[in-house]
Amino acid sequence: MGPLLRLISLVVPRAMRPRWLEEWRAELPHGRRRMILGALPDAWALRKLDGVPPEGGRQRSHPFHALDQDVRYALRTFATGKSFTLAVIGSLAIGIGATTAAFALVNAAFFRPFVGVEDQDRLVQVKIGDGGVWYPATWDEYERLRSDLTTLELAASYATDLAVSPGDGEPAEHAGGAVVSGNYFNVLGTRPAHGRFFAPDEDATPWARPAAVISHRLWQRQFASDPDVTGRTIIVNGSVLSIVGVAPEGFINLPMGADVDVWVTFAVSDLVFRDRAGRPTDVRRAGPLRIDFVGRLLPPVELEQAAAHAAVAGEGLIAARGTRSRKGTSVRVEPLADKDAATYAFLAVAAMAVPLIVLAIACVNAASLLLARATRRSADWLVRLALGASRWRLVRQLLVESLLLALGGAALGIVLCYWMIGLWSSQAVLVTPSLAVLVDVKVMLFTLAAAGATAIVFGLGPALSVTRAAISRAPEAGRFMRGPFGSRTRAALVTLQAALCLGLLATGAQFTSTLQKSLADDNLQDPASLLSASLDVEALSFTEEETRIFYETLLERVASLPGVDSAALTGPGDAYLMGGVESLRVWRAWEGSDVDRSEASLLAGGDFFESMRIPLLRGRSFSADDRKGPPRVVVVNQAFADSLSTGDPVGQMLRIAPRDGDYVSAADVVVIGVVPSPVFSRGHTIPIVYVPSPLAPAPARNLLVRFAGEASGSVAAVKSALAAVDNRVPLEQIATGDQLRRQRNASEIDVANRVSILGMLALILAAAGLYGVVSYMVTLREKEIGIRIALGAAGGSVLRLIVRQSIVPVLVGCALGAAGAVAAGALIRSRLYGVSPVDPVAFGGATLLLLLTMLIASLIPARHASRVDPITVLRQE
Amino acid sequence: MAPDPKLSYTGLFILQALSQGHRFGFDIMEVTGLPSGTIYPALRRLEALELVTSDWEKDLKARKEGRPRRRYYELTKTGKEQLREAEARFHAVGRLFPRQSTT
Repeated sequence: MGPLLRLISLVVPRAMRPRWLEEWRAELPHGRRRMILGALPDAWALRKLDGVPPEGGRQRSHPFHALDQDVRYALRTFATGKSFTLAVIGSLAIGIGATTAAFALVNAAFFRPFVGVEDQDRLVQVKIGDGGVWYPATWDEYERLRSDLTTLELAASYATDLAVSPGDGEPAEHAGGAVVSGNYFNVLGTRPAHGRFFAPDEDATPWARPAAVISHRLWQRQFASDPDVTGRTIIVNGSVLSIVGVAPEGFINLPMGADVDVWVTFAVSDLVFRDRAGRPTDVRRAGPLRIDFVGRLLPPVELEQAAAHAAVAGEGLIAARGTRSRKGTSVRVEPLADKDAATYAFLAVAAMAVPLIVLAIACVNAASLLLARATRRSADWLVRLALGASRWRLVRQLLVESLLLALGGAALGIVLCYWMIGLWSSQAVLVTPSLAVLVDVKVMLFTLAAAGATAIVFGLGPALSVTRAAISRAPEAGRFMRGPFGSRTRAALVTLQAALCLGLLATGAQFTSTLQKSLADDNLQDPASLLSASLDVEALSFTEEETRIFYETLLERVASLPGVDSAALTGPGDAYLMGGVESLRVWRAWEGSDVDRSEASLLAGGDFFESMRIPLLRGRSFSADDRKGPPRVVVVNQAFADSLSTGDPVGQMLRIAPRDGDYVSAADVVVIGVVPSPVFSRGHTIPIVYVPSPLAPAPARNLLVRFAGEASGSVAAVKSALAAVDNRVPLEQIATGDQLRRQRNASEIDVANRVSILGMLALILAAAGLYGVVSYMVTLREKEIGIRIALGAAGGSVLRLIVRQSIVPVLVGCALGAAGAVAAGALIRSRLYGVSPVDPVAFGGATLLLLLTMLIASLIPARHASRVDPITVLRQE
Repeated sequence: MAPDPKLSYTGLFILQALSQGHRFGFDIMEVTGLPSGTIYPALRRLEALELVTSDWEKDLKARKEGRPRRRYYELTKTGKEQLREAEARFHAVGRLFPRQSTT
């Protein structure tokens, strides 16, 4: 009958089970057969009544009963072990902070909804294309789309650069601009921060009400956040427009997501559009344009319906386009946020990888500290188990502690996150969005989730292993640590940390050394004394002659400035040659009119070769006469000269034309000089033809100024020289050669900085980790050390013992980390030009740094061990 | 306090048995003649309603008699009131059980 009763007792809630069994064991002997029939209904009744105290107000046991006790207890233990608490929270803060910072960047880049856009899921892009290629559309086609696509409200936007100045006489600057249809902001559902947006019919009559909307950014920068800005005017491409409104902060132009500072309507489209002859023209006569269409689905239409409808409704339009589009072209309606999940996931993971490694180190650290501490408290656990605590209760206690520590780490991590983003954005040349925009609710939630996950990762292992030990090896648990390092787990943790740390340090060092090489590996001589700036007179609608005179005068003025050695004008783009290179059709004299090749050409106006410090190998450079009128002579580089198979390159005849020119209109030129070929970063050279004056109208140029001394202090002089010639032309992208170098390698510098910073943080972490572990080991082995000293061990030998034992796992970790870094180096070698997978200097330096730090980290607690007083320690027994 | 409508005849019998000094499950079963599958769940319910409370017999006594200790039930104050009111309502019930004489 006993087994049956026990079986039935399983129905009874666990807390009441022993009492229930006892009662029934007392009842059963009175009348076996009949009695047992009542046990099951009784058990069932108890189950139903669960929650009612069965006996004198006893609480039923809930898995999270009396959680507040655990919290209070945890806080008390934190207060007593301050160094432990600080070490764990500090470790976790670095890990969580790094991860949060990375997530904030990823979040801003990939997952953030567009600012100020209402009901974004119903926004669509409309394109004319065949799935792979998108075709420009004319204004007429836009109007036709508007009337044909009845399932959505369509708006148009044309992104362009504008020269913007807040008032007469003030220097203009280039700003992102957009020409939009009157209903553009209505379709997006955006509300202005100030004033109003365009009225839907505002784009109908040209120049009826010339108005502009400005960005929040521009409003702050150029109008000092003037609340009455709507009454003021702005000069856009030389014309005065009245400001009607300010876009909300952070608003970006859709559908392409460009940063735009000034919006105007198609009513003033001739500010922007040019006809074939370069004269201002209305959008209606400007031909096919790269206009972006954004639409809002009219309820209750869904995307699929709209797409299907557009494919049919657009057939007439496609037919009217005739041969301007390929077969299979149709009007397509696609979601605005066309996110390719797989790509985004990959990019996100890639960006998160390194910070997550740091978080892993932090977890390992915290786990090792927690393990050491929990082991030390095993006497506590034993008492609690003996008093009837369940193992869950002990595990819960430890988990509560780790969760609290993780939350503390997260709080500090947020602070660190701000600091790290600030550090990155100050070191990185890349533009980083402002912090306020970066950290949002999603990021905070992520941090909380990271803290929770971290707590479980670093808390659960120690909790389980310690309670297991307390249960199984009850009598001897927590007395003496066995083995040199207490446990293999602990040694493994330190090994892992050292390995991860060295991996990061070595990779960072490799990145940095690669970068140093690639920075100097370009064709820029004495970059500190070179100044580069770009100019564009397109907005001013100069004639070709006016353009030539403007640039000639400017060059003269700049060249005569004090401290200027020489000045040059080249094609638009940076001074890294490739920026200003245009392609050119070249016919060799001996090959006739049938064979022409596309070659790179570069405008070498002014004293180009002197300014760039490019020596002449043969022949002569351009004279002042050469620069007048269309080119009659050219200078070629050695690579081009080599491609001229016959004889001396100097004196050879070529026929050259712009990319879209033909043989008839081409110009005959004579090669007058040869210069060395620039060597680009991957060891390639390209043939280049240098021309003394532009072949085709070129309103945009790049100004190069070579100074006798440093270039950085002379920007103002160059600016005033420009203002003296024409103050309506903005001077853009002013940079010294050094700055150009950094800009050009911005992404590499960025990566190297991040890896190095993370490597240093990892080093601090690893050192703190080892320090913590060794201190705990020393505390736990105090008795043993006391006995050793009592038996005659000298302080020095104890010191050596501890350091030796703690440095062994570090050495193992170093070996593993080095192997890992070599493997990682081999993997990323495809992206690291000019570096062997093993850079001995970088590796040696990183290893040395790690070993030194670790030695110090273990020396401090070891010194404490060597000073143990045997009498004090042994008396505690 | 109004009579609890949930108090069934079974409940009434058990309360009566208890008031007569029949204090543990089997004893109540014997004196009321109700099956064990009715008695024990009813006791749980009465206890949950706080008409009845339970306590364990003294260890020493059980050991002397060579059996597991019993769980003794007794009426609470509310239990007694409920019983009085129910008895007033169900005149027919009367005193069904003899007073326990043994203990």
